[in-house]
Amino acid sequence: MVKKPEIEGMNIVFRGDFNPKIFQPAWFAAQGLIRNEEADEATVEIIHPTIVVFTLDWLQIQIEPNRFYAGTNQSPYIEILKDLILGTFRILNHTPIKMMGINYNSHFPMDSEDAWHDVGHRVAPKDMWNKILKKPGLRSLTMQGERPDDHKGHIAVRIEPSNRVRHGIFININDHYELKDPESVLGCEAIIDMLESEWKTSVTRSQRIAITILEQA
Amino acid sequence: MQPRKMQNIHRSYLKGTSKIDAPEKKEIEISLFGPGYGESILIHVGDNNWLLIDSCLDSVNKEPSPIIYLRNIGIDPSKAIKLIVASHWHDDHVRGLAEVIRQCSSAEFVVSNALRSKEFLTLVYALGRRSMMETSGVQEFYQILEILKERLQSKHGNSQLLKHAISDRLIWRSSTSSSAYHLSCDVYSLSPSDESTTIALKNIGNLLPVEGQLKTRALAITPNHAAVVLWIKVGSIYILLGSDLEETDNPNTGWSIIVDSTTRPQGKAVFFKIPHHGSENADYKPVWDRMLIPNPLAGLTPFIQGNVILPKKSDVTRICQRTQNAYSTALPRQKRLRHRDKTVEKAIRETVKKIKEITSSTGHIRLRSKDIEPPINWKIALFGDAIPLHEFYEN
Amino acid sequence: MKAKAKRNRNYDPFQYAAFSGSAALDYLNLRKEEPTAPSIKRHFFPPSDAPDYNKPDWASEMSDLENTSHTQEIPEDVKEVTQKYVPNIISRPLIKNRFLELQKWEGIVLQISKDSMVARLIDLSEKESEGEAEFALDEIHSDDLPLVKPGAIFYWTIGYLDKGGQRIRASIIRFRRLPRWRTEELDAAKKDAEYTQKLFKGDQQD
Repeated sequence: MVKKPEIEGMNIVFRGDFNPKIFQPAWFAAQGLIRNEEADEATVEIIHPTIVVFTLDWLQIQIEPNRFYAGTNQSPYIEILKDLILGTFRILNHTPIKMMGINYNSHFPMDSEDAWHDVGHRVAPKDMWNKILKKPGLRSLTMQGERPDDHKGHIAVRIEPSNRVRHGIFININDHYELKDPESVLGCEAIIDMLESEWKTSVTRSQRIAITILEQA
Repeated sequence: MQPRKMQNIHRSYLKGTSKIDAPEKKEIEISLFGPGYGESILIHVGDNNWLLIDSCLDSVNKEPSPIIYLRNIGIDPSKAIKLIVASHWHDDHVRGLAEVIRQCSSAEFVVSNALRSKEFLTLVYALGRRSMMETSGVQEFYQILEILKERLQSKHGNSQLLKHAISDRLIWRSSTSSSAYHLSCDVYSLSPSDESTTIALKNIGNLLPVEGQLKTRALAITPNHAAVVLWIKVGSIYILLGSDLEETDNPNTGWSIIVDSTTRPQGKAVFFKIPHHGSENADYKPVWDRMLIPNPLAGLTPFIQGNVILPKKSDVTRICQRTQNAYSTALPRQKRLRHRDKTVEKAIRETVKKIKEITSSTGHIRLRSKDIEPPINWKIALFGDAIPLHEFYEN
Repeated sequence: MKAKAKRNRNYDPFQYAAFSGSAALDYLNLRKEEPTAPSIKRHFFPPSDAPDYNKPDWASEMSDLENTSHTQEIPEDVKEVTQKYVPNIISRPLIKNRFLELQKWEGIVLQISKDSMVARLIDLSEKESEGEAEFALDEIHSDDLPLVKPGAIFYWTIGYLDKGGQRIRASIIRFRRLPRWRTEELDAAKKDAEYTQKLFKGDQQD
């Protein structure tokens, strides 16, 4: 039986054209997207026309001219994160966004060191490597597959030994979406509609992928 | 002259894992499911033709209860269910309905006239698309519409995928068949009336969001003027399904206009699905006097929300005076939340003033008869938490 | 045997991955990073050595949302900014707190009284049952109180919060801050409703 992850989080990455300076904690609070108190207590790393980085207790935001990133590693806020993104880009609906990644990250504990090794051996059999390297070990494995739906994009799964959980396995799933015809689309409505309709499916699928990997291993 | 005896009743209480079998091909069955929050009715009208009214989820595995039941008795719901009726849009009556419709692609689907209106469809598109919550009735309807639209677009022109129910309308009739097991069956909707539809549309309109408003889930408005009451005739047996219709002061709405209608189908029903969980608001004595046989079989599903438990003790007393053959699909008991991790239990105690479980197990009342004219011999079976109504407050 | 490489859009490197030819790798090198994978940029210090594996490093300045220090191309304009304005950044944009979830519900507010609210709860952890609970309004953060209305949706999560080196039992109630209704959304819903109504009345065919 697969244990619950010790750390589980989600993040959303958009590729498009952004004006980083808009995205300040005070702006989010003024739009009612976060609490006023959170905005007051935000840790602001930098606010500059080309980069904005700040964190709340539960949220990490990083925006550059071509990339928007928001993430949380706390499960009570996974849905809140989605609401924040939807709210932000429903308001800023003229922002051009062409690609989206709904990314799942988890650190699963294994029952023992042997069980932890078993995962590595199963996903990356060593028969071949034992003839090539001395004491080979899995460092990182990324597999990519086609999307199971009609959207353009892919799903990539990365597995590594965890650096956060002793004898743990880190699994990242990059659920990547692209617009089929980005040139014909202005603004971000298409991507945001996709986020709203696909979020629950994406989260459930990513959790299932992670559990299936560990069950198979 | 002695009045003709209408029915004989044989009761059995089946609990636990008793084997459940399918009705015989010429046997009528009425099954009422109720998990403590939710309601669904399956009716076998002969020759493996089934009617489904509303849907609820089994509290254990979260699939539609009627689908689970049919599979358990070896019936393929996708072939067997010929008619699906959503008697209204409140989420306790439609949970899982989209999945049922997805599986039963050849069934006709009927909704209240009020639910084909622009007001309701706007509500569905505004709220249903936005994944406001796990179990929203509006969201269920959104999924239903998407399924039907897809079917409509692929069939190129068949617009009868969404029929509507209004007062005194024949909404379904069993196809003629040379099968030895064929039973004639007519299904009539007895509501909503014209005025009920108008009021329902106004109420739905009041739920429509306005610009600048916070996004919240739409909560059900009562009384429910859009509710569809059904009159089903199988052979010479009549069945009255009361949905959630409540009686009002307005003679052009509620039960009074149904009872007084000169164009409704005539007859007296042997089974009554008591409306609105047995509440006093839904009670109208002329229904019992003019539309039901003496001492009819009756079933209801309880409703528990906040401090409200329906039926109340006075409701149970009143109904049991009207018939000795009333049953409930579930118990009024609100259990404490099932045992959890100590840390969780402690945190719950520290956070809330009160907490209780609403759904515990699905109860099922099943009536079967091989007779299609009086005297009808009924076999009643009660599954899960279903009990005779007079025991409702005794447990 | 080396596979022939055609550098066109239709070339699928993974088709040839089993042969591990350099052609596949050449293609892969054209795409150095997943465009929407989340690798947190370490803008503020040079690429680090690969970390020790199997050695949880709680003190390290690595995000829980990542696992390795990916080196990554830093946009030139960003590099310029950071070097000019923030040469000696010590703190990192990290979420320091962690949460170990034990139980989670989705709640919908049914009734509100002067000092409490009654809500229906749907168990998101075990999916076994629904419940109802009455919460004192004191349990709700003051910034969330304006959101407490019939039909409002919230999440209630119980677990352990690791914060500041301490593990605290936490019960977090968080109301959803959904964007307010906009005219465009309502107009779009009306338009869809009209179309659907016509479709089912048979006036419109695709």
